[in-house]
Amino acid sequence: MSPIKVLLILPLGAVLIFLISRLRNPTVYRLTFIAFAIVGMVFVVDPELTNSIAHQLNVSRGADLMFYFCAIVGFCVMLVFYSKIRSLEAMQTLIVREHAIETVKKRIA
Amino acid sequence: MTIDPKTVFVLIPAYREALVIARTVVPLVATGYRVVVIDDGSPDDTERVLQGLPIDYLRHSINLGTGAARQTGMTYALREGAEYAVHFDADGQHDASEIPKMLEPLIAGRTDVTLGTRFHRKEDIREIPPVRRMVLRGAIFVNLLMTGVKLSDAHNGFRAFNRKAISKIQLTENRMAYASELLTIIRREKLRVEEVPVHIVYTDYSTHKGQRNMNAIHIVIDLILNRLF
Repeated sequence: MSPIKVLLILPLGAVLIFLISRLRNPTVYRLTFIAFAIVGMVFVVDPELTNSIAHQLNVSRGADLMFYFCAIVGFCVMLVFYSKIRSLEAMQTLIVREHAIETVKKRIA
Repeated sequence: MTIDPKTVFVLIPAYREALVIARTVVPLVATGYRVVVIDDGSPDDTERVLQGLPIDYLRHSINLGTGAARQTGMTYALREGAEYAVHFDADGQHDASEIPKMLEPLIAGRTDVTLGTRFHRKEDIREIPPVRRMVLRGAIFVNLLMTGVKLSDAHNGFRAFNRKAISKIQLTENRMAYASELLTIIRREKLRVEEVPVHIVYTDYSTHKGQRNMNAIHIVIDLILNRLF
């Protein structure tokens, strides 16, 4: 396995486990996204940096490295949004449930 | 031991069941149990066809799913002082005359939860359509893997609970995966379970309306996602 594969798979697994365990903590994922954004800005400012990092990781081009990087970011974003949707759905369920109980129509014989 | 039938809450989640719900509810009303219909946001005439029947009618303002409707019924039953709660399907698959049999182990104090099973009697097994039987065998195995609870049947929806179980169970799976989540909770809360043979009626309506076999895949995915998040 090439170094890039190890370097992508291991952190991806670690990030996944970390994010899953901390998804309910807004500070953690906000800081994670800020870190991703800063890395992105550094690459924009100095595009050659992506090429030199890519070569060190045995990736042919900086553009390919960016593609892998974006895939990881996209995956993390998807996880965070899914977690948010689950949490909103749970809240919605509670509201609908309480409303149903409050407005019950009792027709006891 | 005799019990006050009004302390038994029969919970019937209903979504688009206007065609059959009255036929299901009328025999239940005659038993003297407290009948609770949880209308899961049906756009049809479910409420209208139940008018005049001595029941408690709760309505979700939007459709949430059968798991959510059952939990609404359980929460309501608990707050109203229920001693026992029975899950009963709206589509006519369950038989009201089998409820005392489901309650007997609970009343005797032998168990906290009774689950109906179609796989204890040969005549009940024969009634299950062959493809459904195969899917159910798979579901039984998946349930064992995911919940650690070994049962002879899966997802037939006929269950009964004592007050202790009603208070311990908090379903968070809104859709069909609630049935496996329920087993996980039963195990986690160390509730005692007993299976009771029941007869499930397969009509054209219930077969068409009920769970599609492909839903098994969605149930497994929902269960995995629920574990992660």
